[in-house]
Amino acid sequence: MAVESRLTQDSIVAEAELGRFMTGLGDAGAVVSFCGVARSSTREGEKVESLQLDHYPGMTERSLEQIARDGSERFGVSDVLVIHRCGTIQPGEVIVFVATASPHRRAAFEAADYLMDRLKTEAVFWKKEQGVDAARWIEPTDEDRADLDRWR
Amino acid sequence: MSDQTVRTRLLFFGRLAEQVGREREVDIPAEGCTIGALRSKLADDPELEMLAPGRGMLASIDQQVVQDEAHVRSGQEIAFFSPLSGG
Repeated sequence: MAVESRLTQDSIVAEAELGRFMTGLGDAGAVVSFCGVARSSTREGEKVESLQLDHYPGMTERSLEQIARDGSERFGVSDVLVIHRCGTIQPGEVIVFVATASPHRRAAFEAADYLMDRLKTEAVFWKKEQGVDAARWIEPTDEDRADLDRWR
Repeated sequence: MSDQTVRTRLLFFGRLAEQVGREREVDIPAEGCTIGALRSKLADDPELEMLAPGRGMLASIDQQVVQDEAHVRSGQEIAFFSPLSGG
């Protein structure tokens, strides 16, 4: 079983990461991957120039490790990869990449879904949308918390 | 609380860091204190009043999120921050 998590300031090239992930697999019958992508407009429809992701060195990396390990153990998937950006991110760039592999598809789908719900509310990041005139800090919504509650 | 204090560094992240800066030094009792007591002391400064208990700002000791009852001593790494938002 391989569980890997990574924090990076560099662009995430999803197709390269997925290719590398699949090369290292044993006898997986199912692979699921997910990309979270920076949107070019806010929920209210205003233009977003960039996204800033603040982090807490050390604590952030450990939160990614813990979430990846929990996802792997809970669903019995054979492999988990979590990659998260920090710093400045442009619209259209990947913020977070998650991949899971398992003998059968259900566990891989559920583990990826679970990982994203945990990352949204428990990964140690602070996200700010920089608009044309103003910036706005993003905090978890009731919807994000309800998503997480599905796994309790 | 005794009169002896120890100067301790606090770290700030997220929205809080933007408002008050990345770090600040504060004197805490030599025997330590609870996070709740520290919050109340910090909140006497109008610039830090959002750190008062119940205002939604989170706290950590040595990079573990803690509640207000947690006891902190000098030499430990103390941080305060706004709610997390990853993904």
